[in-house]
Parts: sequence; C-alpha cells; structure tokens
Amino acid sequence: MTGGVRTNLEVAGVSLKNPVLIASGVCGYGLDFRRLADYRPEAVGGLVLKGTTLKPRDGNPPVRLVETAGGVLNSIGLQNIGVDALISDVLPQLAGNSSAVILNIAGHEMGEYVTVAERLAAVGGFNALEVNISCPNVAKGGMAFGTEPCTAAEVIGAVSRAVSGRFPVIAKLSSAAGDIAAVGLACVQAGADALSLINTVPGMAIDARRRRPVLANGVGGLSGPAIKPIALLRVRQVFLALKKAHKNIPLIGMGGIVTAEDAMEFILAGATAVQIGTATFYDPQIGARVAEGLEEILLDNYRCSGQDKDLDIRHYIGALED
Amino acid sequence: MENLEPTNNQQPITAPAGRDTVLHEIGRVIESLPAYGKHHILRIHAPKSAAVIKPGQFLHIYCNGPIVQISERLVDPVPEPSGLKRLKRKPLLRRPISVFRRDSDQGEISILFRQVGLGTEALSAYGAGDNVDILGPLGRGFDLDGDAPALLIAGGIGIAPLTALAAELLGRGRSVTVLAGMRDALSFPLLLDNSSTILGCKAGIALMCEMGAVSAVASEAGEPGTHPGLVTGLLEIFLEQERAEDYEAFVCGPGIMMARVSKMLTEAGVPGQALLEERMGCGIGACMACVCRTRTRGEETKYSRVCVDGPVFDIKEVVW
Repeated sequence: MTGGVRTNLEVAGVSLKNPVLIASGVCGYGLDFRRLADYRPEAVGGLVLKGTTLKPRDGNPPVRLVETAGGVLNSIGLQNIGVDALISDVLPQLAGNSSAVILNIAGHEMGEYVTVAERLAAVGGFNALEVNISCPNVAKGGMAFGTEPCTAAEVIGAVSRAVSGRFPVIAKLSSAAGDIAAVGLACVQAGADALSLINTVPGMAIDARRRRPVLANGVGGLSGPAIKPIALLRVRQVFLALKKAHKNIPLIGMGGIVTAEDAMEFILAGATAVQIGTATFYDPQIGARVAEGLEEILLDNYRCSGQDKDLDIRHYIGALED
Repeated sequence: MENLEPTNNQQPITAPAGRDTVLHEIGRVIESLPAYGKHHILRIHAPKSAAVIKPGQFLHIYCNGPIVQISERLVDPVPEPSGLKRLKRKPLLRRPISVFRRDSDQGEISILFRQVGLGTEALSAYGAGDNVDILGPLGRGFDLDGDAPALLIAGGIGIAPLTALAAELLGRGRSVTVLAGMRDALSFPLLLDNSSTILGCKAGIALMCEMGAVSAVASEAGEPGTHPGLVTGLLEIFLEQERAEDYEAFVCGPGIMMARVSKMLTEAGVPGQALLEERMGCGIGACMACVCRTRTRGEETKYSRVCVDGPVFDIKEVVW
C-alpha cells in the first residue's frame, strides 16, 4: 500500500508486516492452506500453529464441532502430532515462511509445558511461543492453569525460564478466569513478553430431540462473532490493568474478528496485534482481507483529519476514548 | 470422554502433497428446483469446479451470499441472493456438499440436498442468477482404478454422490448395479419407475435406467414394487443370488446403514469404499473437527480427517 500508510509493527520483539495473525487451531501447522490456489501467506502478519503437546494426542471423539447462533462451538481436544513431529516434519517446511511463525504449546501438567518449551527453544526455527493456559476442551488441558493468577504465573514462569530469553513467550488467557486482569498481571510478572486473549468461551449445545449434548465431549469452546463483545471487554480490562501497573506489555486480541473494523476495535481497546480464528473457516483469505481493510481505514481517517499520525497503526493502540 | 492416552501410530499429517489444488470460484445458479419432500436441486454454472471435480470429492459452499460481500471496500460487490433475506438466521460456516451431476462441457454442476438445517435451508433459498461462493474440489474421491462390476449401495440422500459416480463408472465402461434404500417415496429425492426386474423388485430409479445402470429400491413404507424394508434386505438377496465377490461396492448413506452394509460386504468378501459425512470446519485439513476412527495396522486405530483423508475410505479401514 502506498500513501505512507504504516501497518507494520513489533510485538514483543517480533517484527510483523501487519498486525493480523491467524489464530492457533484454524490453520493447522500452516501447510494445509498452501493448497489454496489464491493463497497469499505474505499478506498476513503471521500464523499461530496448532497447539502442540509432548506426545501426539488423539483428541476427543466426534462430534467435535457445531455451528451455533453467530458462532462455532468446538471440542477438538488438542489432537496434535506431538513436539517431536513438529520439530522433524513441520518446522523445516516453514523455514523461510513469508510471515511470522508462532508456535502454540499445551500440556496437562507443568513438566509437560517445560519440556516442550525446552525442546522447541533448543531447535528454533520460529518467532515466538504462545502458551495455551486456557484450552476448555481437555480435562487438564490448560484452562485449570489459566483461571487462577498463581497457577498461571507458575506455568508461565517455568516456561519463561526454560526458554530463557531465546524467544518471546506469549501467555494465552482464558475468558473463564474470574479476574482476567489479575491473571494477566501475574503472567507478566512471571515473565510473559505478551498476552493473547481470549481463548474460546466454555459453552454447550443441546440436541433437544435426542436429549443429548451435540458435542460428544458435552462441553466445548465458543468462538466467532458471538463472543466479540466479551473479548473486547477482556482486552480493555487487561490493557487498563497493565497500564495502571506501568507494565508496557503488548496484547494480542482475538474473539470474533470478521472485518477490518472488528480488528480496529480490538486495537483501540488496547491490542497491538489481533488473531483471526473462526472466520478463516469460511474465508481462508480473511487475514489478507482484514489486513488490507486496516490500511483502508487508516487512509480514510487520514483523508478526514489530514494528520500524519492517522496513517500509522501504532497510534491507534489503546486509543479508545473512555 | 477424555482420551489422554497418547498414540504413537499417527501418520504424519503434515504433508498435503498429492492433494488437489483448491480453487475459489463464484458460480452462478442456472436453475433452482424444489424436489420431492425437503429435497432441492441447484444447477450451477461453475466451470472451474466442473472441470476438475471427481466423484466422491466435495465442494465447500458458503451459504450466505458471496464471500467478497464481506469486504466490499476491496472488491466490486457481488449481489447477495435475494432469497436469503427471508431467513430468520444465516449460516456462518461453509457446508460440504457433494456433486450430484456434472457436465464439464457445459461447465455445469448440480447439487442435490435435503433441507436439514441452517445451511441447506439457505441454499434452497438461492434462485436462478444468484452467485454461489465455492471452494473446491476438496477431499479424496472414489478410487476408480478397478474394473470389476460396480455395486452402488445408497441410503436416502446418499444417492446424490452415487449418481455422479454411476455416470463416471458407466462412462468408463463398467457395469453398474444400484441398491437404494428410502424411508418412503417422499423421503427419496429421485423418481422411481417400475420397469426394474432385479432381485425380485420392480421399483428402480428412473435416472439410473436412463444412464444405463440397473437398480432396485427398498422402502421402509413398502410402496408397491419396492422391496419392503431396509436396503440391507436387498443386499442380503444380492449376496445370495450373485457372485458378489466379483463386484466392487461403493456405499453412501446414514452412518448406521453404512456400518451394517460394510459388515455384510466384508463378511461376504466384497471389497468396498464408503463416502462418509461429518460436520466440518475448514474443509482443508487444518482444524481437525471432522474426524472418524480408522485402523492403521492390526488393532491400532487413530482419528482421520474426513475432509482430507476421506471423505471416501476403504470400508475395512473405518472403525464403524
């Protein structure tokens, strides 16, 4: 884009060509999208790969996904290939990827997070590590860690020590936390370089005719436009709490983003970057569309105001007028 | 329900090599035809998809107007189907739909579906001239390398993809026998005729006769001419009367029907392929939502993705 528009920025030391990332869980290991004839990987800021555990995981039985009003309820249960296959089969194929690659790790006990983080940090070949302490779909899949400040801090602290500054650590927060600002602050104090929020919201769908839950797991995580207002509030709350505590730590906002306007709302609420999840299901090019739409918004604002700062995405971060 | 046991037998799921390039096409509805009961046929001009899609593969169709609509800033807006305005709620996700008929010379595909929810309800609101947003072709279709006579076994709307398959097989010079099951005549999307004489059953499918296949229909309601009962009853007679092991079977229908049919076929030594259906997210293998249990070797099993590892599986591979 010409005209002096600037949407590139840094998040926790990672350079992004624009603030739009594809969220963990919807883009697999970043390779499936390559089959799309009109795929433009270079048009987004980066990809966050599928949550990976120490051993391969089978995941939950189907039905794993159902559409609900304005959203999608899923219970995949962290089916993944395990860290060894991630290192040997995936990372080499992502070398030279045209945008940032962020890995997402999960575990069901503290030691698992640490081992996975250590192995990955030792081999490299990615830009940052997102730590899932908020998966609602496995019994000990993280959300138990992410709802309380002390346990969240324990996991993030241990992972940060394991990574020891080689890669930025991003803590992915749960909407189910009683006090998400306290959890966020605790993670930052424990060494998180950025916070991403929110993970899916626990929910359920019922088949009244069969008198059964639709998902085999009973409970799932809700995503999509239905959760956007919840996510915006959470981002704002955490942003203000960090500001009050004088912690200059970037937030990565997500939850129901479908348009560039949605993304801009998250940025105004306090997010430095955003992630898009559910919308990629129906539009695999949504990341590129939102990134280009953000440039249009900046240009429109500049045309109205004539002020150069309106051309720079960084001037919008947290700029909500309360 | 939680399965914490790690499995070490998973195939690498990181190599999309050998799978088709996925095209994005805005097709145009030529004709929208309400069919029997809650069935509906859309004839769509979609030359890119029509040129490449194989039987058993599917199209991932956005049922809420064209995607480009979402970003009008960037692209000239494409008009939204007017019928969508009547809907109380609009679908968010694409719906995987298999092709019913295909005419690559005319650049046309037809889809035949039953209105069962939000997505299919929206699709039936599309009219002639409306734009349809299509991703495809997706999935692994039927393996057509064999030359044995084909035995197609359909349950209900499962006849839709098997019709495209029958056309392809007949075009390759293979003989095609179709056994179809229906609840009652209204729950079956295709016209019956009474000129069939196989398996002691008079009722066949008119379209199959036209194409040059033989067919027999089982009906739970027991309409005159049909085999009263389930399609498995027809299959039982077939297995008694024919040298079934000389055939190759192709199955599509409700899960419970496919499970029973697969068991009968396997016991009779008939090889077969089944087309599975599951709720999907992305349709391209990324989200792991649409899985089914499959055998790897021996007693070991794993979850395979219906959208890329299927939707067509060997009947012996699936843990029914």
